[in-house]
Amino acid sequence: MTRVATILTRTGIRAFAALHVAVLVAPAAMLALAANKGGMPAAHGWDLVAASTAVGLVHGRTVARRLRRELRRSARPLDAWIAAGNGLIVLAAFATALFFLLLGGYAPELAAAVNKGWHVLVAWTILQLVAVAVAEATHRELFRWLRPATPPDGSDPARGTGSEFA
Amino acid sequence: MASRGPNPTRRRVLGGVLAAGGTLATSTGLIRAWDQLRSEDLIPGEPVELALRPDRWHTTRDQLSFAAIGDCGSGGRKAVAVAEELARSYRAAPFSSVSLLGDICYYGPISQRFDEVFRRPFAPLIDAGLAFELAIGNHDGDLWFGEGVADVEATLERLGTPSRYYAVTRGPVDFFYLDSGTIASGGPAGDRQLQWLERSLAESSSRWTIVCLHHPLYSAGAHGSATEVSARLEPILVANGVDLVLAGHDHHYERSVPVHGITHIVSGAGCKLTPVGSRWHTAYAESTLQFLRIDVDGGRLQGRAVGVDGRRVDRFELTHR
Repeated sequence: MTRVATILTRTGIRAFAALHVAVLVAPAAMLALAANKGGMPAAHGWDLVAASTAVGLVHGRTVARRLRRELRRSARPLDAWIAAGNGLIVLAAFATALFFLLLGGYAPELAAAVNKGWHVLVAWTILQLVAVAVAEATHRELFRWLRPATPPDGSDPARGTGSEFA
Repeated sequence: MASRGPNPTRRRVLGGVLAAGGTLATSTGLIRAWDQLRSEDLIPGEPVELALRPDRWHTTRDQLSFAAIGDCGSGGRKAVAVAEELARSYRAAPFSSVSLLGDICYYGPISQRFDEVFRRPFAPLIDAGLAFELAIGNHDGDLWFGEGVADVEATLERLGTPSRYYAVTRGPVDFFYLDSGTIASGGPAGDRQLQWLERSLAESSSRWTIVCLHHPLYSAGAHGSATEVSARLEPILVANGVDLVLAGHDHHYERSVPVHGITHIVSGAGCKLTPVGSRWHTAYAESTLQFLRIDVDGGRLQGRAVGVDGRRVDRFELTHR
């Protein structure tokens, strides 16, 4: 791989990981900004942003490492990016849809839990982790599904000579 | 299981198409979802813990202080914050009652959510003995989550509200609480209510007349002016010299210029927010979480819109005509 291609790939991986973080943080940031704009104190809602950022940073690092590994060890860079792209879409959809499902569809149950002392941060973080898990499973399964069959001579078409970037 | 022959290419194409289509669909969906997320109040709020001294208000034949708040029924963090500021306002200068301008229960039926949407946020004021009076909103049964009439009746009963429309006298003020949804839909029920209102206004002897309802006659907000309501209602209000109309429904604060002698207030930012513009009737408008506080002293009525951070959003004064 040329030096330019290596730099582009590294930058692409980092940008992609950053997108994962952004998609996880966005719902909480929306809520906090809207509340602050409506007159709520500056600190309001930023606990959810902090929780989302923590989950996002860990997940972003995981995504970057896995993508790097897939690009380096397989001869299927296109498959890796296709799987990663679909994983990101699933993450974006679930990260927001789950909030609506829980917060809107189970409002009485959630409020009862808050009444009993459960902090809403716990529910929020669990939702984020579920979205991450679904996105990870999508990425892995799709990457595996795109893998070509083993040729008759026994060589592994999925294993290439490897790329030069680290 | 590995794919065979030309399948990898077809699968790649499929995967690529899914990614492209998914990006488009998800982006569109997310923009809409985040827009709604911003305007709702879905994060549950914690209970308000504020000790208030009960029965501290001072109501006489000439003096009255009360508050009004609309569309506060989320039980969420924003609703709780507004309710907490309302309680602080009572602590600084007590008032005797709270007029609820409709939509006191979102995201579920009142039978399941009464504690979260009403008792918890307003606990300090309830414990202090304040009266809560409700003008029925479109989210208080019938249309949303409820089981029609049963849910509306459940709402009224839980709040001790005598009827879907009724009159109350406090100090120098006659309050008229209306069911604007029924007025808007017309029919015999709407006619009966309007006939009742006309009779009651004619018999009203207090110095001030204030009408509380959910749908605003004049609004520069997202829903806008409820023209079906104003067409039927406004002539009656004007003919009977009503001083002030308080409404919710649109999630912002707005004060009108006097329209046929009546000042119209939209105080619907009890927990949600939607944008507001300016129309010919707008004297002041702002999209900010707030409640309304009104002090009547003889022939003078002072109103203040108070923000969730205690900021004075607007101030106005009416002189009895």
